[in-house]
Amino acid sequence: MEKLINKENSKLNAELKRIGDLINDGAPLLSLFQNVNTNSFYLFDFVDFGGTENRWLVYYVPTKELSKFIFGKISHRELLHKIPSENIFYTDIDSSLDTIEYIIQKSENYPAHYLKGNNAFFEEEDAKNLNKIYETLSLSKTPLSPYLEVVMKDENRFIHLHETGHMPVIWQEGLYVNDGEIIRFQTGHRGSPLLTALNVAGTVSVKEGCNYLQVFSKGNYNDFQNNRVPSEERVEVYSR
Amino acid sequence: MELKYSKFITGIKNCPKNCVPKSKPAYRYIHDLGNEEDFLPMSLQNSPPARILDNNDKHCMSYGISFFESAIQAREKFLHYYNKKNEELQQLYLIEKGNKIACVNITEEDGLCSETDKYGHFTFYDFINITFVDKISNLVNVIIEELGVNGEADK
Repeated sequence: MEKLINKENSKLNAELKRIGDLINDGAPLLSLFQNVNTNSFYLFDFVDFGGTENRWLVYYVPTKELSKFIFGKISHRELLHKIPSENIFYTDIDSSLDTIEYIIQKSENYPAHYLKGNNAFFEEEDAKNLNKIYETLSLSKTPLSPYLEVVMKDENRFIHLHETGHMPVIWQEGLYVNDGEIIRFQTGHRGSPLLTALNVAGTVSVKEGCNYLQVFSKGNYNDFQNNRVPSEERVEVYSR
Repeated sequence: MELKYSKFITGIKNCPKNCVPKSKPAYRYIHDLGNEEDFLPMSLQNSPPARILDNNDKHCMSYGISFFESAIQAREKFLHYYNKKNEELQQLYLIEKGNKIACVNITEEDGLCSETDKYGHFTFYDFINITFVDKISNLVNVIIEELGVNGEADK
């Protein structure tokens, strides 16, 4: 196992509770924890072993990046590279002990390969306690249309969507694309919609003051240009 | 017959569950020609150490031995995880899991088999005093060697 030099006074002061494993091959490889005091999320990311100990990188992961990983929009490598290396902790866990205590601290020096990450995307079949993970992240998987479901509404007014099937026609801010991730979105007050069409990796933002999201899931580009999208094809999915 | 690791699982509810004795060839990752250390349950592995984050990882299946119904299924599962790793973690994975797939002829007198999942994996709870190395009939490399028509590991 690589030798690490601990940073002084760098212990992570957080009470962490394990939620589930994003990757588990019979034993955990990438595990999701939550700070019970702040509700923020941390990952335990296996990187090395030696003697009786396994080594895990431990790092805070923003909810938005975590959801992107879970929805398959970014790889593990892309996720890890979004975390500043100075914010990465580690812990060595001795599996021979009856009682496991996490001593989580920073190192002055991480080998480059610890921070390399894996070019792998999340797959549900690799996860353990997935329902608990979804529940903790408020991932509800509300059906939105035959093609989309809402899986999470986060504190930053982002709605995270999961594609369940290919749309017959997909719009993106007036541009016709015959394949892609998301259709055109519209948010606004009831009865007076404010356009804020977005297409950001399965995530749409909802403007302050807006209280619902509508999705136009059918039609074609000419209909869109001529503002002839039948209202019955609009599905309200979001309110607060 | 008493299970070899009964002292670890007596406190686990319904463990083992829906398991029955069977005689069949079973496939498992081992190191080189194999030794009895290759047939330790995951929670009891010492070298490399068992990947345990808390006691939730010491579950019923972790006190059984993983097998597959065919060498092809064993290889598919291995590569599923192996191919997702960077080069350094791939090397650790080979050290942890092994570099060979062994065909082991288990019998009804050896232990209890769980139900087989959709990936061909089942868990085997061996009886006390059972050894495995002398039951190995075939070996193939886990990564590069071609498998036979029925997923049999060639001699």
